[in-house]
Amino acid sequence: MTSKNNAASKAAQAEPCQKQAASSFVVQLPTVQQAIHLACSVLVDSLKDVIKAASDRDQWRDEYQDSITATELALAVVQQLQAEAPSDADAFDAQWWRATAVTRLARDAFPNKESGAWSRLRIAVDEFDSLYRMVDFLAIKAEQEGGAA
Amino acid sequence: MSTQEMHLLTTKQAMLTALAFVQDSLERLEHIRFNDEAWDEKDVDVDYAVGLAPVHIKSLRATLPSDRAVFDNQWFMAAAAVALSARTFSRTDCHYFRALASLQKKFEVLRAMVEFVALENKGVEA
Repeated sequence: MTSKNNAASKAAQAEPCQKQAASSFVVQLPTVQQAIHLACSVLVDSLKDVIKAASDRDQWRDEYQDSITATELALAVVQQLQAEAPSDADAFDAQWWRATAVTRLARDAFPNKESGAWSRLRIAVDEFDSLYRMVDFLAIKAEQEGGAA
Repeated sequence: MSTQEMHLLTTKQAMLTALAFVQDSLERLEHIRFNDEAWDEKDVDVDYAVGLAPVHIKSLRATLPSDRAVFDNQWFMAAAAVALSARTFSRTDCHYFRALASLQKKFEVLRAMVEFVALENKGVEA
């Protein structure tokens, strides 16, 4: 019993140092595939938000139709990427830029710049730009570290 | 395990990703600054304000907080330095300004991404 206690107290003394080592060791950057999936998930959420905000019965105006149909198209592309991300980086880029371009056009053509739908479109375009760069950053980093993605 | 769970990041992983990414962008911005031949000394406040951002980012990166409020707090301090700089910078048609404006957006988007991951993880636990 005594010896057990002794071991326990030694372990307790050693613990803070181990904990520190563990916390800085465990957290690692995601893989490129994980990052692509996350970027798609964020955009699916945001694009659905745009459609929901515009389609609200009190908010809807017929002149929103073109922008919202375009947003639905972008959503379909991103959902496809989310379901099966292409292993080829160029194929991902092409699809991602297609969805980005359509959303940007939807934003620029949106008639009511005071609406919640417009500000959500603006956010979605920013997300397309920034998250693309984030995926790119992780891909370059993975390559530098020996293609361990 | 569903595809969703297989790909899911931990909240700390999302924080680390956001921090590593903006830190890289800040380093690039600094590089652009030093190579900017048209730099005007009247933008000295921008120099100092942008210089503060990496301090917060590095301190967060050294000890990733378990509490997202702690993360948000430090993150906003860095983001505010960048946002204020973008708003007051004297030139708009130059590489430095475009990089600064792009960084401002990254700060907004990446914070939302960390929140997204935190909420998703909550949903899986529940």
